[in-house]
Order: sequence, then C-alpha cells, then structure tokens
Amino acid sequence: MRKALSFFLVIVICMSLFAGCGSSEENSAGTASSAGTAGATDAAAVSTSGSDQVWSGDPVSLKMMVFPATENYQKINEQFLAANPEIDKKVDINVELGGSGDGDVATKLRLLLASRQELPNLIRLNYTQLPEFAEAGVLEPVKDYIEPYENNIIDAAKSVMKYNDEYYAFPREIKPKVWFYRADIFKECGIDPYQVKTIDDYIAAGKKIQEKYPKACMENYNAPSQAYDLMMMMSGTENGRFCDKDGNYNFADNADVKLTFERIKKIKDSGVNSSVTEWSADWAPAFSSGEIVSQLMGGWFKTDFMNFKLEDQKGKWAIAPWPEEIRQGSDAGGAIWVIPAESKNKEVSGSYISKLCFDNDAAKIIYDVTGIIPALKSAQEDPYFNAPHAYYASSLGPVNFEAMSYLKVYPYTPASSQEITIATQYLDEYIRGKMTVNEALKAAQADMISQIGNPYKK
Amino acid sequence: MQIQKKAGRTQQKMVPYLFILPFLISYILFFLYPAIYSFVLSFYKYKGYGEAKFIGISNYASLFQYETLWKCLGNTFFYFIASFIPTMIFAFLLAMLVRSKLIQRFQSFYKPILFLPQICAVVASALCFKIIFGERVGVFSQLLNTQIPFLTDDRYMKWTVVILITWRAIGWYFIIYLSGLTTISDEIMEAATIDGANNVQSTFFITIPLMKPIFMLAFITNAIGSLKIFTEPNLVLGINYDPPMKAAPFINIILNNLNGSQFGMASAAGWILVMVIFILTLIQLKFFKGEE
Amino acid sequence: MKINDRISSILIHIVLILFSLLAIYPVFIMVSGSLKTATELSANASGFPMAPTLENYVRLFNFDSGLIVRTFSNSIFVAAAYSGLTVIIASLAGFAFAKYKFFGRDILFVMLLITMMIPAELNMTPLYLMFSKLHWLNTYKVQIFPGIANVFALFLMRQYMVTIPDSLIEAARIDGARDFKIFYRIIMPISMPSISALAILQFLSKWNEILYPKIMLTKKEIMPIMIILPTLNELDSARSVPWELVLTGCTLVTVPIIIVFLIFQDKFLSSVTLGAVKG
Repeated sequence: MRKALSFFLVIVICMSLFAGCGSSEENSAGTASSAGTAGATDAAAVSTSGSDQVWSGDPVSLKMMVFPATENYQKINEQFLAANPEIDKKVDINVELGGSGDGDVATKLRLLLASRQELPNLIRLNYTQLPEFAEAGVLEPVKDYIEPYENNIIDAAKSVMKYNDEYYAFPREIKPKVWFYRADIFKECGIDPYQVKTIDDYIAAGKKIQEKYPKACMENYNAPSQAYDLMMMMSGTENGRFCDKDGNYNFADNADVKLTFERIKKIKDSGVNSSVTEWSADWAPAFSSGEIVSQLMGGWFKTDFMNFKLEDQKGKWAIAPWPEEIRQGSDAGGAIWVIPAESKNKEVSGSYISKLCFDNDAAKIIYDVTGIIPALKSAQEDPYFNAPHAYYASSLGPVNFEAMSYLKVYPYTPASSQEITIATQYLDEYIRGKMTVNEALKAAQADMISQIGNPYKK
Repeated sequence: MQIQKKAGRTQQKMVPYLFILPFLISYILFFLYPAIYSFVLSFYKYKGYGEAKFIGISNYASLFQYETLWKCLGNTFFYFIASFIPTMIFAFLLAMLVRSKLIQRFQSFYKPILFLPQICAVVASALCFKIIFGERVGVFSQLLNTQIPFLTDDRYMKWTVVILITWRAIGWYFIIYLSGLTTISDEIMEAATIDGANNVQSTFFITIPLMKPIFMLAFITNAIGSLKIFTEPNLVLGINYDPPMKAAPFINIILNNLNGSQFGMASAAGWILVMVIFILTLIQLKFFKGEE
Repeated sequence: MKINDRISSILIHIVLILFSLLAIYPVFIMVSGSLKTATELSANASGFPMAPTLENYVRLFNFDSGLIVRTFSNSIFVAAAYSGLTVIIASLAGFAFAKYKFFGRDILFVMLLITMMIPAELNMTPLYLMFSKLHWLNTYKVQIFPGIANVFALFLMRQYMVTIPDSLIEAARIDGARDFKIFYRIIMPISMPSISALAILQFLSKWNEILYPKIMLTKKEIMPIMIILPTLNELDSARSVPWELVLTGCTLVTVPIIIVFLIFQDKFLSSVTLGAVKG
C-alpha cells in the first residue's frame, strides 16, 4: 500500500512539474497587475492635465494583442520606444498573437471577458467587430486621448473610430477601396483608369485589353466569394444593408443589396473575369503570367501583393481609386485598436497608442515597417509618404489619400460576422447559377432571422 | 492483530479505486464537468460577457430549422462514407497483394512505404494537397495541361477532401488487414487449395468472411470519429479555416457560432452532434444484434 | 518458379509500386517544393527542382527570430507529455477495470464508454472559462491536460490486461507482492507492447491537433507548430501565403517524424494493430 501511495505521489509531482511550466507566466502577470494599480492611480491624476506626465512614475507592462503575426508590431514598438526614451522608461510592451484573423481575436476577447481574465491593454480588431463590443459596453471610450490630435485626423479615419458618435477606437489602417492595375498594359492600350467611370466602362476596358492580350482579365470574382469583395461592393451602394436600425433582417427586397449581388455577378460573367481563385496557390502565378491585369481591392492589398515576391512585376503595378460608380465604401472600414474598459493602465495604453497612431514620426516608423499610409492631414502633404514607391509604379500616398475621401463605412451590427458568412454562402449559390438573386436573398434573410434573431437584443 | 487485518481488508477494497482515481479525477475535471457545463449553456443565450439569459430550447429549435446545419451534417457523412469505402477496398487489396507468397521478400519494403501517409502531419498534407490540386499550379493541371477547379467547383471540392482522407487512411487499414490476414492460417488456405479452390475463389469464400469483423469494427469506430472531422476540409478548402458552407463539416457550425459570439448556440450545436452520434450508435447496435 | 507465378509477381509489383508512388508523392512535393523559389514553384510545382536552393530553409529558420524551432519543440514536448500522462493513467485505471472486482465497476465502465460519444470539441468554451479561472491560459498545461483521461486509451489497456492470466498475479501475491508492485513489476512489462503502441497513437493525435490550441493560446512562444504553419507570412498578412515557405515548414514537420518512423517501424506498425479500434 505504501508503494501505491508513493507511486501516486510521483504522479502528483509529475503533474505539479507540468503545472510549473506555467507558473512563470502567472508571476509575471501578477507583477504586472500590481505595478498596474500603482501606475493607474498616478496616471489618473494626470490624464487630463498633459500627456507627458503619463510617462512618469513606475514602469508598467502593456499587452498588445494582434493578428495575424506579431513580428511587425514588435519591430514597430521597438523603434517607437527607441525614438521616445521617456516612454521607453515607463512602458514594457509585449505583443501577443490573437490568431490568424479578426474573428479569432474577437473570439478570444469574448472568452477573456467571460472568464474575467486580465485583459490585453490594446487589441487589434477590424471595424467589423467594433459594434458588438461597443454596444455591449466593454470598450473604453477614448475621446480624451484623441482630442489633442483630432484636428489632424482625416475624416475618413474618424468614421472607423466611432460607434454611435462616440470614439472607441484608434485607426491602425484605414481600408479604402483601391484599384490595382497593370500600369504598363493600361498605358499601352490607351486606358486611363480615371476615365473608367462605370462597371460597363470597366468591362469595356477589359475587352479592349483583351484585343492585345487575349488572356488578360480584370478581376477574379468567383465562388467561393470573398467576404471583403461582397462588403466592398455593398458599402458602395446608397442603402445596401442587411439589418435595419431596429435589428430586423428585411433586405430581400432591398434594391441596393440586390444591386450588389448583381454587380458581382455582372463582373463575374463579363468575359473579362479570370477563373483563378483568390489566395490560392494559383493566384500569384496568375498575376505573374499577365493573366490578371487589374484587381478591385482594398488599400491593404499592397502588402499582400508584395508578399507574393513577384520580382518580375516590379514597377508594373499602379493604383487608382475604384471606378466612380462603385468607388465609395470600404471593406471592413479599417483595422483598429481598442482598449477594453476593464483593462488596467488605460491612461498609459491610451496615451501610448494615440501617440503611435497620430504622431508624425511614429507614422513614419509604421510606414517603413508595414507600408501603412497614416490617416493624418499633415501626412497628406508630407513628401515622405508621397515619394515614389520602391515596388509600385506610382506613389501610394496620393491615391490612398484620395481613395480615403471616398471611404464609407458599412453600418456593421453586433452580429456582422455571422451575417457576412450567411450572405456569402448565398452569394455563391447565386453566382454559381444555382439560385436566382431573389431566391438567394430570401434564403439569406431567412437564415439570418432564424440564426441571429435580433442582433441588438440583449 | 485482528484490527490490523480488518484495516488491511478495507485497504484492499480501496486499491482498485486508487488505481482509477487519477483517471477519474482528470476525467471529471477535463471532460465531464465541461460537458455538463456546455449542456446547461445550450439553454442560454450567452455572449461570453454580460448576462446569460435562459431561453429554453430556442437554440435547438432555431438550429433544427437551419438548413445549412443539415447540409454540413450531410457533408460530414459524405466525407466519411466516400472515403471509407475506397479506403477499405484499397487497403484490403494491398494487404492481399503484400501478403502474397510471390513477393514475400519485399513485404518489409512495401509495408512502411504504404503506411507513410499516416505519419505525415495532417496540416502538412492538407497544405500540400492545396498545391497538388491547384487549378493551375497543380499536378493534374500541369500534366493534363488543363484547368480543373478541384478546390472550388462544387462538383469536385468535396472529393478533394475525400482523396486526402483516403490517402491518409489507406495505410492504417492496410496494416490492420495485413495482420488480420496473417491470422488466417496457411493451413486453411492450403486446405482450400486442395479442395480445388483457386485464388479468386479462396479470396471470396475464405478470406473475405474472415475479414468481415475487422471491416465492421472499422466501420463502427470510424463512423463516430469521422463525425468530428475538421482539419482536412478546413485547411484544404478554406483560407483561414473558412471553407464554403457548401463543403464545411459539422464542427464549423459550432465554430461559426463561437465566432458570432453565440456561445449557447455553439453548445446546442455540439449537443445536436451528440444526439446524432447517439442515434447512429443505436442503429449500429441494432444492426449488429441482427447480425448475430 | 512457374511462368504464371512470375507474371503475376510482376503484376503485383507493378500495382504495389504504383500505390507506393502515390503514397510518397505528396511528401515528394513538399520536399522538392521546399527547394524551389517562388517563381519556380508556380511554374513547376510537380517535378524536381531545376535549381535547388536552401534559401527557403534560411528564411524559415529566420522567420520571426527562430519561432519555428521554438514551436517545433513545443509540439514535441506537449505531444510527449500528453501521451505519457495519458498512457500512465489509462493503464492504472485499465488494470483496475481488468483485474479487480469492485463496486460499480461495470456500470462505471459502460458509462465511460457511452460518454465517448461526446465530441471533445463541445468542451472548448467551458474549458476555456475553467482554465482562465485556474490562470492556466497560455501555458503548456492547458495544451497537455484536457483529454488525458482518454476513454479509448482506457478501453485499450483494459482489453489488453484482461488477457493477462490471473495466475501470474496470484503467484506474485503469494510471494508477498503488494498491488502496486504487481502493477509495475508484472503488469506494466507484460503490457509494454500495447503501452508503447498507445503512446505512439496519442503522440500522433496530439501532434496533429489544431482546433484546440487555436482557441486556447495567444502566446506564440508556446504554440504548437501546426498553428504557425498555414500562415507563415513574413509580411503582415492574414491571407497571402508564400507557398514555398509553407512547403518548407511542412517538410520540417514531416521528415523528422518519417525518419523516426523508419527507425522504429515495428513499434509504429504494431500500434496500428493494437489500436485497431481507432478512436
């Protein structure tokens, strides 16, 4: 029997050994929170009097949750802190990985809230998720941190920072609709993207290019559809929305939702649409082979495109705003930073992120690392952001700033992620020809009613 | 002395409980308690934060009338059946061939190779299949010089997943059949030959009936396991774990609800899966009773 | 050898070689893809690399300051710890179920078997809430512990131990051995084949897991490699995947395991037959 007991003891020891793996984590969290309370009282006293005093007092550690990778923000934080020694003294920042997409981060945030865990101080989301958390009152209103910079922020950015006219977010990247096109081919065929005003013009331009390059295509709208393609098209309409202000799903007869579906199908069936699948292993080769000569996208695509490492395409691609008929809108509005209401050291994280987002020098650091064009009026004139680009044929700055002026944010609801999943499912049925547009909209509406109900109902 | 003996007896009685204690504790803690918790949660509307609101069976009611849920369940069954049958056929065929006396010397050469796909990580093989079945870069497209949209067309995309599952599973059942075949003694086979049965006949009349229990066992255990399939379709057909609902497995219904902050609904979807598995098991049991 | 036999043996070889090629081909795609540049991969994904380069490996090991090595070790550690614990507690319990009569034994066993029907995916939310209360999130524990009470493993161990003759145990008891000594002196060694087989199965199942860690973890330093693999982006993008780098990562998680497999082939293969009822 004693043997038996001793064996169990061994097991228990084994288990506590494994338990030990995590103890360092708990300790650090513990110290962070104790330091945090001290810092919070400090900062609370000074929060309105002036931003510089936030950086005095004991150091605090901040957690920054990002997706899909941490490396960029590690670099940015490092360089930012190196440039701002007074902040460096105060802030010890850790970047955490929330997952591979915005949905993952939202799930994690919900679970963290449910479990009353210590929350990250700064969380990267897309605007898509903002209504849910803002509506639930779990985000910190951030007007105070924005005020000092407010005049310098371009209007487009403000629309992705607000929910119901209250500031809840800092802009990480505004996502205007940007049209990527092969400058060399367009020029050769005598097409000026600014003269392409309608979808018909767009298709006609494609046909014109095909006279010279028979394989060339303007887009690749296919099933399975991409959620952002749908939302970019949808936000370009006047009244296209799934859910009305009272939370009712009543869009089967909404002319603009129908128009959105039909526009996508029109481009798909236009004869200038490639069959290649977005983000598949075939996609990059289709760019490289000259099959895809244009792409209606969000401004963010510039990074992804460079990730393809298509050296032979260097200097051949330029950007323009979308054709006038559909140039308004955006996909997810923008990538944003939020501060959970229950997190610690909110003054420090608020001051930190506002400086990172709105400071001219910080914007340059971010631009160097990620290529993100800041949403600042002062940057609009700054040659730093308007200089010729090392990869693209045109400077990214001016077009992005112009496109930002057409930015219109779709009225997302607390249930947008589900709405969009359902909508793309039936958009697929429609563009595959399995359903008529009316059938597709009806079916989508029925599913949203049965699966979501009323997104605003508590 | 007497007392000590008595104490010894109660101690002796405690022994089996002590043996199962570590298992039971971790079972209750990491399985039973969460399962019950999720069962309770399935009757609530709960976002993860804020208040949980009791709503009776509405989660179940709205899921039951959700067509996509049944479609995804259908997809899951499809993945199971469509991969199971070829897996069984090929695995059996390969086992028969490898066991053949004619090539006995090479058995140890073929065995590990045919088993190899099982050793490859699911994630790695799924990502690799995305290349193999790519519409243009893919092997078929390059060899046949055509473009077949294996990964996007609704006629093909589910089959791509089936091929991946089959590719991975054949090796597994190949080994099982092979060891099953070695239990059929050579005497039986020789006796059959003396009786004048040729190869084909002995396969049909001796081997196959003897292999039937293996087949049935594989069917039962595989059916339940396959309902939880997730990785293969999600990685082969999705970019970020988001395959089109047309081809998504049942687990994606749970995930979509988690992503949509409907924790109660996600739990209810999970329990619907339990119900399905339960019904399936009952059918299997009945079927097997009938067999005996 | 008769001519007939020769012909059929050639035919058998042909069929087997064909299947062997099919089995190996995706691995070949991985390995050869890892030696190609992006441009070559898009033009020639299916064949041998024309100008093999190790550049992808350099990129992979430099990725996010060596994250790949770290996460690879995480995967190995977690899978090994999980499989070790699972096997230990399953064999302890399996022994009790196989060789003792105690109150509630059969009912308990049947109930455990019934709960095998409940998919573990169901428990993600409650487990998350539970672990957060324990302050276990972002630890190895959270990756190791859920699932260690594996009914399938218990079932296997019990089935195996039932076949051990009682006389062996009785003999040991007469020699004065206590229950525990019997367990680790007699039962464990006899059950070694099934224990090692089970350990291999559990290792591989943990090695392949993605859904669970994807929900539970936020610190990439402790994540398993399988979470990192599909999004090996050097630039900040959720979607654009440099396939040549992903294939290099795939090679990294596949080839070492294949080598281990080839060395311990027999153990691996016997794990299959013992675990014929795959859970």
